[in-house]
Amino acid sequence: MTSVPSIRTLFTTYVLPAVWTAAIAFPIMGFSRATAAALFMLAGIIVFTVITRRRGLRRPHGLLRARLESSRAVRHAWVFVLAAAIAAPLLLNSYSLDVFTSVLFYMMLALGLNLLVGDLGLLNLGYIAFYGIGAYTYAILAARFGISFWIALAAGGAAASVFSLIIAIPTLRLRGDYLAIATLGFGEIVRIVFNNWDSLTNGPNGIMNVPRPWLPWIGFLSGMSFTYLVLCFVILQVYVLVRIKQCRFGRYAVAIRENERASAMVGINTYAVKTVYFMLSAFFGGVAGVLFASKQMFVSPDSFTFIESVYVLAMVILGGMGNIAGVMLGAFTLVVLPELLRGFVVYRMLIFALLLITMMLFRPEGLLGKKA
Amino acid sequence: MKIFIQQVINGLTAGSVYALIALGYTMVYGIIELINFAHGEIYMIGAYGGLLVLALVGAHHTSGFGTILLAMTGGMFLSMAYGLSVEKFAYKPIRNSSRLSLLITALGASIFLQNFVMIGQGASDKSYVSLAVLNTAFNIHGVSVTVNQVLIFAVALAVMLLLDLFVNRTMTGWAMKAVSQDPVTAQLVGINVNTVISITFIVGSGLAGVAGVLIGFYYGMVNFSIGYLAGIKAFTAAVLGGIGDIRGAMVGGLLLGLMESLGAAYISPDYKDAFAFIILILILLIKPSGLFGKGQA
Repeated sequence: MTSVPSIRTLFTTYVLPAVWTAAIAFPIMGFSRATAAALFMLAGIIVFTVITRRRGLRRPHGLLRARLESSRAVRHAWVFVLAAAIAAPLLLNSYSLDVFTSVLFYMMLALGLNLLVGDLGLLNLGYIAFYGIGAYTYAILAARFGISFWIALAAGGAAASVFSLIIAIPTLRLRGDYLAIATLGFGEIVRIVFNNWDSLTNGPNGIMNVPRPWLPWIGFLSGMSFTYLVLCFVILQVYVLVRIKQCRFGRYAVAIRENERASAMVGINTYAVKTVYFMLSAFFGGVAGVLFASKQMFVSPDSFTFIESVYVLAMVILGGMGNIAGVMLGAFTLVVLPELLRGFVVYRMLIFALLLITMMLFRPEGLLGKKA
Repeated sequence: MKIFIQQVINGLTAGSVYALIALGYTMVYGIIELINFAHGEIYMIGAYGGLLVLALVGAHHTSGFGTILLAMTGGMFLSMAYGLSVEKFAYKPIRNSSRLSLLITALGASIFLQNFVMIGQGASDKSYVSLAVLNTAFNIHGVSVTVNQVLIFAVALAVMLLLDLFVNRTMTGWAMKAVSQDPVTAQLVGINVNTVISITFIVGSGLAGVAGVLIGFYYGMVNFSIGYLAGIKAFTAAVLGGIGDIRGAMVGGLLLGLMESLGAAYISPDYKDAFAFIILILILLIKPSGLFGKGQA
């Protein structure tokens, strides 16, 4: 059923958008870049039409997921990934080890945020604030008061949870996009406080000489041993999250995401479930923050900007909302890819933004699909 | 007392700009229930549009109001073009997807435009010509008011009156109201919903563009990152007035400007930018439908 498109359709679908793009890009970008933008737009439209003609706009299942779940390959894949992760620090040079540790940090964050965005369908645009609260709690307790890492770790997670209540209580009763904007506001307030409360946070200069974690017999952890510590936390977190998903409480969350009113009708206290999820999600962010501060040995407000929240959100979306393996894949991709694209530093964020938009267009369920 | 009046004047100036931007948020939200994150960037692009016109006409220190008008028109049209493009290329293809997808697309569009302008225009501040006419200050009993401030207030007021007339007295305006109340029925009675949505984006973006040029003259410089904070504050203003309500957005903008300016003077200047967010969270806590809103949140 293919018909030859008329000249008019060709013009309106291909030529007009490309010329329009060139025309509006010209004042901002200059002639050569505007031409490039127009060609890019043309290529984008061609890809879009080819894909939508072929299979309609949506496909119900994940691309890789169907293949993965069809066999016992899932288990094997997990074992393989785990083995690779354990072996990796031994094989990597110090630069790659840094990138790897960074992947682990972002996995913790993305998995924590996924509890809200993936499991409950609630958007949190200030998630990095909890990371920041954890990091600052540890920095202040350890650098100022000499409190040990393990106690401060618990304190960091707890502080993030407690602060999350402040934002959760008023906003969780509201509709989703109000929550998104309120959390964004919360994230900014937290950063502004870090920046201005000089006596506590030392303002924009940040807190220095934050100690590394300490273990008996090993001493202060650094380099490879630190990476293994973070890896242990990631494994622990994945285990906890898998168990949550399987228990009744995890099912409540999915029920609320699918239909909040119906869940309330069958007796689920939706507000309580959402609040607990919010606190749990913040807790994971806080713990990741403590680890981050002890890795950097330094904290400053610059690490906790809005764009970082968006970055973590993008990891959740790219991999597949609600899917633990997917979210981890998303974190891995979005940390490693920019490292490989070092030459395109200027275009990095542009590509990142396009990725967000195209994902929403073609695969809103993410690379590994949504797991109900 | 002098300080108080001075702060009120400064607050009204900033508030007029917030109100102009807030109108775009509120109109778009009213019609497709989307928090258009890219709107702050549209405002920033307007500021750059004005800058380009000023360079094109070779504006200098002694240029008059004609040049200012030209710059505002240029900024307005550039913003309109970008607003329309964002709607057509980013939002329209997924308008029927989940709200979460739409919101994330809007976020993507915002980051895209910010970096697009950064690549094209550079990351450093670009300065507006400082015009002698605008910098003239009147001194009334120790309170100083510049022509620039009067201009911002007057333009904002005029534009808002025009918008009010447009929405309440023209067929297109009625069509916009109809679509925001019930898109399906609006379509049934012969309204072209797609066109109406595009017009909403164009009008809202134009207002933001004007605001961008006004702020360019006021602060004397623009930067690719100015859209983010202004956008969030304007959104707060829209929520304050009751999102979806046009007159609410105007009042909300002015109120926010006042509160921010007075808060900075009497509480703490360091936390000036935090006031907007605190107000936002307080409104969501106390009255999420805003001062003039009717519906539930």
